[in-house]
Amino acid sequence: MSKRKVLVVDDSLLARMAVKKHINAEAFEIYEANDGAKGVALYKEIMPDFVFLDLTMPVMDGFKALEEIKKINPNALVVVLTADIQIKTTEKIMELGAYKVLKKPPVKEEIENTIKEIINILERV
Amino acid sequence: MTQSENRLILSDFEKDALKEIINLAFGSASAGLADVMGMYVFLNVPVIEVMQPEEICKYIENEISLSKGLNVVEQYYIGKIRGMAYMVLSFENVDEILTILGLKEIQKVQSYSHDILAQETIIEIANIIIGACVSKIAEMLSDVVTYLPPRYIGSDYSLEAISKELFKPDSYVIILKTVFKFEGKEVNGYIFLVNTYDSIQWLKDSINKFIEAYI
Amino acid sequence: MLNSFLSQIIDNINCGIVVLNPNFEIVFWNKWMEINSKMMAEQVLNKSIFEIFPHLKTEKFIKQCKSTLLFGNFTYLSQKLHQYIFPFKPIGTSNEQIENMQQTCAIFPIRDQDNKVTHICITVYDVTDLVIYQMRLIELSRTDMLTGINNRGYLEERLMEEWERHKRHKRPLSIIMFDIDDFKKINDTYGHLAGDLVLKTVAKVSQMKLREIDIIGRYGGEEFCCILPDTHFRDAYKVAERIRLAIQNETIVYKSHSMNVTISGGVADITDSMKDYDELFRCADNALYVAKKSGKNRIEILTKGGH
Repeated sequence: MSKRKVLVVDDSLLARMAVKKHINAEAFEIYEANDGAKGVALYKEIMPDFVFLDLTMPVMDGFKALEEIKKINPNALVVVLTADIQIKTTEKIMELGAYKVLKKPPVKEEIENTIKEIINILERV
Repeated sequence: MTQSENRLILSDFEKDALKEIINLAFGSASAGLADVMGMYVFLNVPVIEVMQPEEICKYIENEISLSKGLNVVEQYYIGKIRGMAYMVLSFENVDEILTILGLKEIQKVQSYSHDILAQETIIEIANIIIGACVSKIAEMLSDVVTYLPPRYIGSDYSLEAISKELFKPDSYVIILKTVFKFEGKEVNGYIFLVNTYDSIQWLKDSINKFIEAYI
Repeated sequence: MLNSFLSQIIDNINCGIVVLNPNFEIVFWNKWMEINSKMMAEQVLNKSIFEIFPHLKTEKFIKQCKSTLLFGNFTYLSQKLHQYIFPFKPIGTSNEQIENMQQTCAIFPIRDQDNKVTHICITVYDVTDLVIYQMRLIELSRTDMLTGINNRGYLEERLMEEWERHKRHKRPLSIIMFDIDDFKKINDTYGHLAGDLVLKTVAKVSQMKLREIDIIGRYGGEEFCCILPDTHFRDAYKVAERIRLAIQNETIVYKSHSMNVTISGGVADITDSMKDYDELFRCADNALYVAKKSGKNRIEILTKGGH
């Protein structure tokens, strides 16, 4: 069986590194994009199993990118990472169809648990 | 300044990390501002520039149109990072500004003109927004800052005269720029945080500590 | 030693110091506060500041305190905007224009060892004397030295404000421009001091015919201007007539000379088609010109629509 694909979209290299640190590189093929527009384009190209998406990015922000990804694949599994954890923001993200919202900076257990959950979902399908 | 000189001050990776630090800081600043002000304040992705003090004025003027006259508030902050914050506010009418502080109308008090009272209101808004942004950045870097009272810079002042005392010629400054907007109001503006040369080394060290902990 | 040092400084410094916990309860109250509030520390400690000063329970004040608690920033409450935070009566001789002590206040954070903000400190400075001085300066900058009424600069400032208010609330606004007929003759016949007396008298008599909200000023030379907020041109005309009659009936005595002077005036009101407040000035000025041309000692109306 080929490796699962995961896409990490964040304008900050540091932030992408911080997420990647908690993803097992042996088990996943990791793709990266440094703004929303590139993230959407890459999503279309590689159709990853799931996505880690930042909210605040130049060119195209996370809200818009999430919308676009959901247009390409209504069942897309997108985990949004944000420093802004106001209820209003979280609600908006969930309305747009995100799988989950995680607070930045990312915590090891949260990322790992989320990946486990997602794998479960993917295997059930 | 050439690219390579620029990199001596902050490497691209350090700049990237600083941007992420500020993003995290602004995330909690805007949550705090929503709590304090009762409304959502959008703080955009920050832009970080390294330049010489002589270039500050031109840089700010390039970023904003000052055609309507200056509406700038400056505030000095000092901790391990040290510098001057400038808030530039642009708005359609004064009434909008007042509602931000929960006032309906400026009470005509004593003999002060409408203009002076509007200025004082702008100063109070600046104080809260600058305070939120600067203190959250400081918090991310394990620093504590104190502030001098904010000052309104109107048309009697010129940005050309930006503090020579603070920003020594032939040194460098790190400028953080962000755009903010109040939800549902025709009020928006910029914040420029201009950090002095002597705080750059400390900033660089803190960024690297942050990077180590982060990845 | 240090403690005794500090407590003496805190008790004798010419500044009020209050410390609040996050529940807005008073945990410190220095001697300055005791003297000026006439309340001892024992009376206020551990009580909510809103219990002692209910007027402080405003959205704005709470916002300012919260911001300091949350961000650890400094908050400044300017006298210009707030006048005062704590309602204290001045001790000693007071100025009748100012009822309460004028204050500039600052709020800053107090942190624990881990740099967490645990309390906020409010400092209170008495700036009453400064405010009185400032008010006097502002008054001086607005006053025409000879007649004691407003000067041209202030007239223009107020007209600009009234213009803005009209734009927002669509309230009517009229102005009267008038000048003294044959003023040059008075100067030539009786001298400049007589002319000065005439100017002073005209200013005084006109002012008495105006309402509290009207603004009169000397526009220049022997020309005067009245701004009448919330007034249609017809009512403004009546006011102008009252002024004209009052001046006509006033006999001015200079050295053994009795003088009678008259004025000519022009009235204009604001219309939607006007681009700026200058146009309103020009309109009234044109009406004044017509009044002069038609024989003086009369009031003319001219609005943009033409009446």
